[in-house]
Amino acid sequence: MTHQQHWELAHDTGIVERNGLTYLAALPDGPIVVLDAVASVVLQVALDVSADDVTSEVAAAYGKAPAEVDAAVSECLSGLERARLLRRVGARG
Amino acid sequence: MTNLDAAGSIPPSIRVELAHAAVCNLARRAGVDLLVVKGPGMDPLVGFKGRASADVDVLVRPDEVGRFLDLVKAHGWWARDRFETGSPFGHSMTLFHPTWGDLDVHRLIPGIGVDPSVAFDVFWASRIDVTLGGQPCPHPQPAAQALVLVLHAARSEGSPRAGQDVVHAWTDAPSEQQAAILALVDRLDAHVAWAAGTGDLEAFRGDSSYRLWAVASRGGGRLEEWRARVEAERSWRAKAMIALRAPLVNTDHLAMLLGHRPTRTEVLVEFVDRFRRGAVEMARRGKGRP
Repeated sequence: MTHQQHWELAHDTGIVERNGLTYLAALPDGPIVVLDAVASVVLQVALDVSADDVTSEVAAAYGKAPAEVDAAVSECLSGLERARLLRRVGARG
Repeated sequence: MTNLDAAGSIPPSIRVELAHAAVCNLARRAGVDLLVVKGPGMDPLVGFKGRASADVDVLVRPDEVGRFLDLVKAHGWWARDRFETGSPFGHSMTLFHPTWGDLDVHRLIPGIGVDPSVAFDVFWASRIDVTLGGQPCPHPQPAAQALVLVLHAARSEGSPRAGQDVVHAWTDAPSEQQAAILALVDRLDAHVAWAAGTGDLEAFRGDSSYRLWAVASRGGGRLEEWRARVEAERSWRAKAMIALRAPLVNTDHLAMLLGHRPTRTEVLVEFVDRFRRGAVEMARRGKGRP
């Protein structure tokens, strides 16, 4: 039995990815939030791997040590969570 | 991460796609049945490549229109006009939201002869979900999308884009798609408007709605339009109501032209000017000029 958590978009999140940027909105009222290229990569990684692995995967993507990106990754993800765009959920199975 | 709330800061195509997601999300949460009838979710057989959309167009189940309007107004949309003043067909009204932009709410599709609730049921029964902005947005199936688009072109006098729509959605469509569209024209009794959209209106010269579709598809003055609207109504009561409303000022339209709600004086000036324009139109017609 695993206890890994992962990130997923909230049910009422609108999302459009275009030209390396990501546009998110808490529906139905908004506002529209724009993620720059780096934040877009953080989100893509967060949606692909377990929550515990996001920092190391992002660090690997940019050729950095995890400690160098940890604060930025955490700030990005917690900001999206506070905006009700992203949520951390329990084990996938 | 940047927070942008001003609709003008977002590329229009992104804003429109997310606006579709917002409207469909809101309707689904409230249990309101609606269909997106144009826009970025159109099937490639129907919408030509690169066709831009500036707003959200939805057809709402007719008996849920009032509830839907209350709902969107509670979420920040405000009405630009009313069904009665939005068009000669009284079919839609436009609402605006500072983040999402314009929303056109249709209670019927002009040109469809069967009862609006019957038409909605036909479209609804074969609907498809298209993902827009990450949300499922119900659309009519492709043949019904094409029918709606051509009927829209039929009342888009002189619009180059409407001409492109007809060529792509109808003229160049595969034969199976054309057969499916024509079956819907029959089923929904849309023959006159369909003919207006596809250039065969003269075959319906004797129909009571002929003149209305002639004005809608080819243009005409205000007097011509009102005369056509009176002719198209079936009951004498409805004809009388149209005739009585003809000289009244459309204050919603005037507000859009002025950029503010018109004052009493501005409404009065417009009221008088309508008679002047009508006289000019009649004089021109008397001299054989358009």
